[in-house]
Amino acid sequence: MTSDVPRRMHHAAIVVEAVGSAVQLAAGLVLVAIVRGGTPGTAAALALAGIVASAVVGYVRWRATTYWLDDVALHYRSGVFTPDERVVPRARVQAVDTATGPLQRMFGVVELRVQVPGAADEDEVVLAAVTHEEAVRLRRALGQPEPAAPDERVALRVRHLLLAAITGPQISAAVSAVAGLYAVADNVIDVQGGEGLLAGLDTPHEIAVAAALALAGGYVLSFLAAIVVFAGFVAERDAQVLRIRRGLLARALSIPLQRVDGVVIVEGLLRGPLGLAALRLESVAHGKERTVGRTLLPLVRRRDAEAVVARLVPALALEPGALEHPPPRALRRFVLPPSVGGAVAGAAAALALLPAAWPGAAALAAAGALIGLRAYRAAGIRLAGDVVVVRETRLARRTLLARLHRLQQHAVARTPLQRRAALADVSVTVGSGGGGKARHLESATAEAAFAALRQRALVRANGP
Amino acid sequence: MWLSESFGTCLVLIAVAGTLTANAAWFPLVLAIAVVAAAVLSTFGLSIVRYRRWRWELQEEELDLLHGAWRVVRTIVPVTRIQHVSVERTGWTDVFGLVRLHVHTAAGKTTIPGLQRPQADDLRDRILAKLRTPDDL
Repeated sequence: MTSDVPRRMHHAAIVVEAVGSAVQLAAGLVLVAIVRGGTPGTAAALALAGIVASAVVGYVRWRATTYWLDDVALHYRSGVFTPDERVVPRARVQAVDTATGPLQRMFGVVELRVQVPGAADEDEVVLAAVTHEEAVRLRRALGQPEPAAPDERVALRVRHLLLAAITGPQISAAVSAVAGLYAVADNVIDVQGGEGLLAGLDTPHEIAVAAALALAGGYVLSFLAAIVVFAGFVAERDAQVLRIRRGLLARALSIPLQRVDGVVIVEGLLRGPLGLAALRLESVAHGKERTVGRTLLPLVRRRDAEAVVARLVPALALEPGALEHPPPRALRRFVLPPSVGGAVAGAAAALALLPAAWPGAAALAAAGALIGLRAYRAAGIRLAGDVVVVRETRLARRTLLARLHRLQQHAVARTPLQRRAALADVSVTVGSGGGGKARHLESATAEAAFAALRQRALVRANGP
Repeated sequence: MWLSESFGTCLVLIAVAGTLTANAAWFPLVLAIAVVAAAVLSTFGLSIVRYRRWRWELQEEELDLLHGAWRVVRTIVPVTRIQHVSVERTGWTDVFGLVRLHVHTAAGKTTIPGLQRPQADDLRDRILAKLRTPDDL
């Protein structure tokens, strides 16, 4: 393949860029207008100015962004004042993803992302708009096969999408939305001299109502955020690659199956009792991404979880079998700390705030005991072929299925008290820095598991 | 096998400073002194235990670590997982002629504190010599 002339993206990229910045800019300017107490007229004028400015920015950016291929690499150059040139060696390209958001659909183009292992999101080469033919050409040139018909495909059904949104609020999104709204509301109220409204919130009853409203608002927002993020969620794989597409914005992610370290089955506080769970992907390349980016499937029935994992990541398929659980004498070690913690927290709150609330301390202690019991019942470890299964409960119950030969390290630990009771903890660490820990196992079980982990890790390391 | 006393001394200083700042008016002086004494004693005690506990061993295929004062942890890092090794020295560790060795894997780093410089260099070279076979991430 000979060297290529520098190319620009499709013209639609101007619009994509412009819209992206226009939304932010216009919103910012409107906020400024509101805060400074301008009339709706000035707000509109500022918004218009924002849109015009972003159109100009979009055009300039498009002009300044070029890319070309040569024998060894994809070159990408963008930026006006401080041009940023990225060179992606062909051999390092992990995947070429295309996505079609609403804007791209309008212009009949696709967004193309070149993924490189280890690169942070912002270091990826993203071409916001190229034609289908150009996408095919680039993909071929970068040695990536056309996506074939997937061997397995798991789509999130609408019912499950709703359930996922109800039970697993996107808390971070909601918090920031509420904070933003609060800031706006605060300013608006100030401007209208309506401080009396806030000052009027002096009875506990009114404060409680306001707090409840804020919480409910946050919940609704998080529900909507989850819908936006997870709508149209599809996970599929062919022989080599796992692909995840999600969201109204059509985000896509490809990851070679051999780079998947493991999968975590997360049963949250709300989902666990309903027999539901989420699947999260563990891999080196995506360890630092937010939870959303690591979601393999936002919602799955708990009893189907292992089967779904086996379909999507065959290397994690398990023979039927059971975990090695901690012995009965470990029970009090699970139950005692959370109940004492609950009792102390309750007592402190009662002392500091409301002496009449002392029964709360007992209730918290009981809740702690229940949490401990739950943790005890679930904890365990299992080694099956090249897969290790480790289950633990913090607030959510997490079952890690990891490929043994991709573990980064493993450890066995015990305190003097555990030593006396012949108990030990075993923990494993995967490439993202996460991992799992099976607590208070029978010492012999722990040592056997630890020895097996070591041995199999070595066998695989020396293997072909 | 060495652990810098610096670690323990640092902790003592932190504990003392923390206790003093927390020394509000309602806090009886006697109690404060007792707390400081306890902090000093336990810090020294803990760092001695910690120092005596620390073991590391580079085996054929794995790095074997044993550490922890209360919770005793034995960690195995397979050599094939190690991505790079770094040696850290600060002005404070220089006082003792010691360095820290960090072993980096994809999951983060594992640290062996309080090595003598030549020891650390030797260990580093031995680990690097074993890294000849590249492994995919």
